Amino acid sequence: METNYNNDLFVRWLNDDLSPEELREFERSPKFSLYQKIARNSGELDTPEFNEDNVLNKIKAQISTQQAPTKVKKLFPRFIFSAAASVIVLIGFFFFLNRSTSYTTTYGEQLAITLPDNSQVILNANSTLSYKTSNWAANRVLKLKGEGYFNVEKGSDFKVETNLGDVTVLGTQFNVNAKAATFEIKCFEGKVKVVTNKHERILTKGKAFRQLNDSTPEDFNTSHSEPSWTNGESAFNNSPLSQVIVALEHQYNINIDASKIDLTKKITGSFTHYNLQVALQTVFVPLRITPKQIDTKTIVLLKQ
Amino acid sequence: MEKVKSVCEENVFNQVYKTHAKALYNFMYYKCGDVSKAEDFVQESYIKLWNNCSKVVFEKAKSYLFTCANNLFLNHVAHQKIVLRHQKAGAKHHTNENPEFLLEEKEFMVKLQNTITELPEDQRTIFLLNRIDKKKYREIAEIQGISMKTVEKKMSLALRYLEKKLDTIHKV
Repeated sequence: METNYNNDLFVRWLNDDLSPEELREFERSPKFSLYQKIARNSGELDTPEFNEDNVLNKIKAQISTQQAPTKVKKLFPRFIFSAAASVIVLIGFFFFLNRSTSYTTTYGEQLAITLPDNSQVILNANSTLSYKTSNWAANRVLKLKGEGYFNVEKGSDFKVETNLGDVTVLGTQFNVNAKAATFEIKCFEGKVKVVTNKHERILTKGKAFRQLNDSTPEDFNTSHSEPSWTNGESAFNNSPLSQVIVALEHQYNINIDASKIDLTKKITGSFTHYNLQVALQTVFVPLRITPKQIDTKTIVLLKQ
Repeated sequence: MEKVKSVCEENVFNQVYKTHAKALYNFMYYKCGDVSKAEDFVQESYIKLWNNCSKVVFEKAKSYLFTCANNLFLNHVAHQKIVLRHQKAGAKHHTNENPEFLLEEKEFMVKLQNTITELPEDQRTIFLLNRIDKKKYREIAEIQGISMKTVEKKMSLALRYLEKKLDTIHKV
């Protein structure tokens, strides 16, 4: 214990940490002369000569030889990465803004679609409808190929674009038929504005507009409250035979060869969507035309 | 207002060298007891300091140097057996002493040197830093990157060993 205490004092003595009392006590310890001797003699030890300037020169020499650290030239400057990133962001943004939703029906199929503003669209067979989802409320524009029945909620302008002309809604319910060469609009409620390359019409309830190919447009009335095709049959009001044949083809996915008959005949009537044979009979028998089935896909019309 | 000293400036670097080179050299020498190795370590540490001059502030240069040298030592000669050869200082304090005393004194010195050499590397370094470089324990702790308690503990062990070894010869 005694030695430990002295040892502690010795340690602190060498660091000049002793208080005057402790110092006096330490000096009284029996081995003080040994401690003193160790301290003095070890303090007199010398370290080897250190040639300061020589080493400094060596350091300087080494530093100068390794001077000019090789500059690392970047393979791709940093700005290229940021440029690439912004391009990607821009493209992404562009796609995001132009995202469009698209619906397609095939032969004999119908599709009921609810648009973001709760407007209803019923798409008839073999038709395509697409619209941009972003900012729909302010920009109600649809692209239509084929035939569709629109029940439009109140709001901003509602526009249906087709290859043959545009229909702008002023009211609520209307039918657009833009198949191949046929452009037929029926307004069932409210007001619709129809714009084609050459003509412009405002249709009110019960009015209809039809243009076939480039012939003179036709205005007529419709007595239905909604298009008949939404109820499983296609109705025609003084329509040319060609339009009825196109409708049949779309509905049943068939080819009708009508090269041997007069296509300008007008028809008023309807055909069912559920039975091809019945439909063919109802359309052609009154016209004294015999539909002859060649195979499952092809039908030739012959005069009786 | 004093300008912030940058180690990258040559005169500042020279100043750092003048202030610490000898102490660093001694520190390394105590550790490995090899003159040329110690010199190499000093050299390498200063080159490292120069290469990283922009990252090391002037105030931290000293501890950077000592840490660097310490690491170099640990990497290169950590477990080598070494022999210390200490020279007696040239100054003669005892010219008036009688020959017997001088002989005794000389004997004691030889024994002391040998005993110091026998000390473990860490204890020896701390002991010599305190005795020869007159460094306080706080500074030693800072240089070594250890706590002051550890320095005191190791110093205590070193002194106990020296006391035990030298006491016998003292009595003889």
